[in-house]
Amino acid sequence: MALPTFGRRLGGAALLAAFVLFITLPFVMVLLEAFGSEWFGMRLLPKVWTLKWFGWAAATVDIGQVLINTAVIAVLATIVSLLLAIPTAWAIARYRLPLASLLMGAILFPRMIPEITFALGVARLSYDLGLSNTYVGIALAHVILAAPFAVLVLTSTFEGMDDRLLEAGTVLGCNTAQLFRRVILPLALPGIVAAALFSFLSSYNDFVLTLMVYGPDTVTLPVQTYLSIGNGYLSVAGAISVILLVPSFLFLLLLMRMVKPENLLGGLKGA
Amino acid sequence: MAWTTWRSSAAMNGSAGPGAAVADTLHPASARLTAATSRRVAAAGLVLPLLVFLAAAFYLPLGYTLIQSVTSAQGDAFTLAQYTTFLASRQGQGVLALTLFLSFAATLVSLLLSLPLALALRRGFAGKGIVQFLMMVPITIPSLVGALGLLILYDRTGWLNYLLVRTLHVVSQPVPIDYTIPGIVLFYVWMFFPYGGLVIMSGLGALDPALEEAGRVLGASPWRTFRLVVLPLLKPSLWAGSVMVFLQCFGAFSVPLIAGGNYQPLAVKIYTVATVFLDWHQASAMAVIMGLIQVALVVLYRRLDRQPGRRTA
Amino acid sequence: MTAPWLEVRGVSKSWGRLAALSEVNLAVEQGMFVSLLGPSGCGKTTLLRLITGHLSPDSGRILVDGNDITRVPTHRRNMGMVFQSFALFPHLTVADNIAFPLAVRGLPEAQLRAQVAEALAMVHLEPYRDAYPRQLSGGQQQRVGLTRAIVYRPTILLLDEPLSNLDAGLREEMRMEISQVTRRLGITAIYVTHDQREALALSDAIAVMNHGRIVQFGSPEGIYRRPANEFVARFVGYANALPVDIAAGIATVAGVGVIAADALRDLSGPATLFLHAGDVRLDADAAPGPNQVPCRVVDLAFMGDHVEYVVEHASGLRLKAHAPIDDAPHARGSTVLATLPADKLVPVARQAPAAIG
Repeated sequence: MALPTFGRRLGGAALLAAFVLFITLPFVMVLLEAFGSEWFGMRLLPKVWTLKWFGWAAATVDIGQVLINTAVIAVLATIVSLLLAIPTAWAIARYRLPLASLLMGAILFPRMIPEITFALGVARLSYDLGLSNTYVGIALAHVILAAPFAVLVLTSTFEGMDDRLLEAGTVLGCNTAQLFRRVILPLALPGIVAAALFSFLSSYNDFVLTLMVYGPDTVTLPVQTYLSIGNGYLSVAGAISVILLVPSFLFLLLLMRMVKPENLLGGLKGA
Repeated sequence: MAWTTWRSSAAMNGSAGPGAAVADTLHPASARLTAATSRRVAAAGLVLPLLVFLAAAFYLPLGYTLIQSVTSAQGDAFTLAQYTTFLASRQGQGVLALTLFLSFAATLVSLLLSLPLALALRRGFAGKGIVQFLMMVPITIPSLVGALGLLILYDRTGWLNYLLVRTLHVVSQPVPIDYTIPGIVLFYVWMFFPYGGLVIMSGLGALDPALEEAGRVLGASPWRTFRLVVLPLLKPSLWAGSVMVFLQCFGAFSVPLIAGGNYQPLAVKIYTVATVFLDWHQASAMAVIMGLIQVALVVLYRRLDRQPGRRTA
Repeated sequence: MTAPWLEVRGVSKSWGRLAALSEVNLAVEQGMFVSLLGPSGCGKTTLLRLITGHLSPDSGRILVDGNDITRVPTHRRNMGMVFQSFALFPHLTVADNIAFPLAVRGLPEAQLRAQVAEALAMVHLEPYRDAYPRQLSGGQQQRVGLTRAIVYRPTILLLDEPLSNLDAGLREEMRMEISQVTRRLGITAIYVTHDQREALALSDAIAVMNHGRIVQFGSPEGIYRRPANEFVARFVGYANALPVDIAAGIATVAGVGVIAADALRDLSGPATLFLHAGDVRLDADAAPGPNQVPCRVVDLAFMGDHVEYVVEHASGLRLKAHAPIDDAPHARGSTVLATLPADKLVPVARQAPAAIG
């Protein structure tokens, strides 16, 4: 042994602490910025603790409306994504489709290239169709990214469904509709919920696409954060960020329960 | 795979087997064929809505961008001027060089961070769960928020400089990090290293521990076992992880938008050209170039992520 | 008696509150082939890995040729190991795999090449020298594994269930090869298995393990014929266990009758009589005599080289018996007389369950 065990332990603990700080401190900063006032110069902590930035956010940028916008768009995007993804994933999982891998590639392609690449075209299309600055327009833009990921999750769910349970259902007398309602849906529910969560989060956090198609009536939380930073109102931006973070952290906690970290790579791209 | 059961029932309807003669009288050949094909048609029908949507909402805009990139504001039907302007100009090459440099640098640092991290996680230690949780954080939060926090933390008046100047007294003046190249690289690393880390962890997890035991018993010290057995087998994951990080860095938008200062890597440049200079044709050309590079990287990643030495037990 | 070559003294190992090994002692002479036999979780693999150094004992010592190697790291113990999963390096060719331990020891190139060639020739695997492990069958891979483990002439060879991943037909071949190789090289071998037939066939001595302890150590014949307790008896394959009460050299089987045997002379109290299925004789018509139990045939099965009968006494006691396939079969439901030969009975005093081993 080169190093005595105690030295190793200490070194290990120091590295662990450094890593924890490395990851978490930026969030601490956001919290301090959002809940603190008079934090200038080289100070560790703000002079005053306050909730006024949230009030400012409400007053100056109508954060309540922004929140509503974001939520409504996310819900719309989730619903549309699921409606499109469920039949698609079912077909891919249960049937031998021609050119299956090409099909999957075509569906996943939007997640592979940088958003800015197609955001230009989407912005133009949106404008031409009169969908700019509308809930529907932005939600549909979000679906471009959310639906493919939902397909990924749901394909895996449907593939994992035991055929024999379906066979048992039909033998026991279910017609197609009953089979769907009583057997398939309950079995697939966890997967559907996961797909819904991913879609919701994907829309909620989306920035680049939204930036290209938003308007004064459809400002979302990420966009507002950007605008506030751009205008120099870091504290307000901080407050908005805190609101933005809540679903992400909830989602992360849920995720840690459900999935092993190494299996997550398929299609995870931040805003 | 699930489809085999359904497929075999389709085959039951369609192919000639021992029961074919009987089947023939019950279902004449033409009807059997229709049964099989109608199943196929139904399947195709299920996929159609999404495909139509993507065709309209994604591929159409892509096509549009492509067309825009080869037409010009002046009304040319086909021109590559936008491409040449970008690729040949000092400015354009500068942007590419910047983007590539930032991506390479951040990828390298990420690798140096991820590999020991993955190895330590594998060995297991107190606090392993925390580390695994924290590794997921940068990729699940909106990157804007992360960028904001990083900006504040590494500001001239931020905590790091406080530590360096006031607590440790290693420098007399605050070290500029925000809006500098090293700063942007640092931010990229914070944002994107988990992409590589997860790939490497997955690769390590798939490594049969008996191989390392074998190396030790055969006489190789822990370091030599690592060098001669683990590392060679891990190489595909290391490459794949690096490409994954590089991919993210190359396409980064929100981070450099907020924290790039005067530096504008490719994604930001495209945005600026489109919305500030309102030259959508030029922006489109740049977007196409960027897209092509990214696709090439994705293909590379797919190729690399294949690794021998997977667990048997 | 020569000093033991490999000695394990008072070794214990726990994982939290789970004691994997408790105060285990083992002494193996040079050139001996010893099997560690037991069910999953008995600690045999843990003991093996303590010997290799992959694990460190919580207490106790491990000695080789009188030297305490407890603190010596694995890569300096100079032992050989054959793995259940073969553990061949997938990124190296067969030749490079075999050369690995020699290269790590800094052997000069020419000598290395010669030794590898010689090793390949010995196991008739020269055509595969440049192949990769994934191109070989399971049996071939394990032979490479064995070759790699002995090419540097270690004095101790450890084998961790090396036959488990092989097809039944190959197992026999590989078993013989292991036996020949270890005998020829005079290597001291420690063999971990849960299969008692392997252990019985290969070993000079068997250590039967259960719950982290060695419950019996002896020659294969000794273990087979004179199991020390119920656990060993059942593990080694005694199909019949009769609960009896022994008094004055006579065992009473409740509701059945009386059994006399020399072996019972010095015992008294509750016990179990073990008897191999192959030792029970069945006769269709015979007058009942000593050590005989009238039974009804409940089931019979053709096992290829013998017929296995399950017969039942009126009291509910069931016995298994093997009969040669050429004998006239006894039909289901027919009455037979089961003879329990006195000299084949193995008595084991019945202890409270927790105290076994």
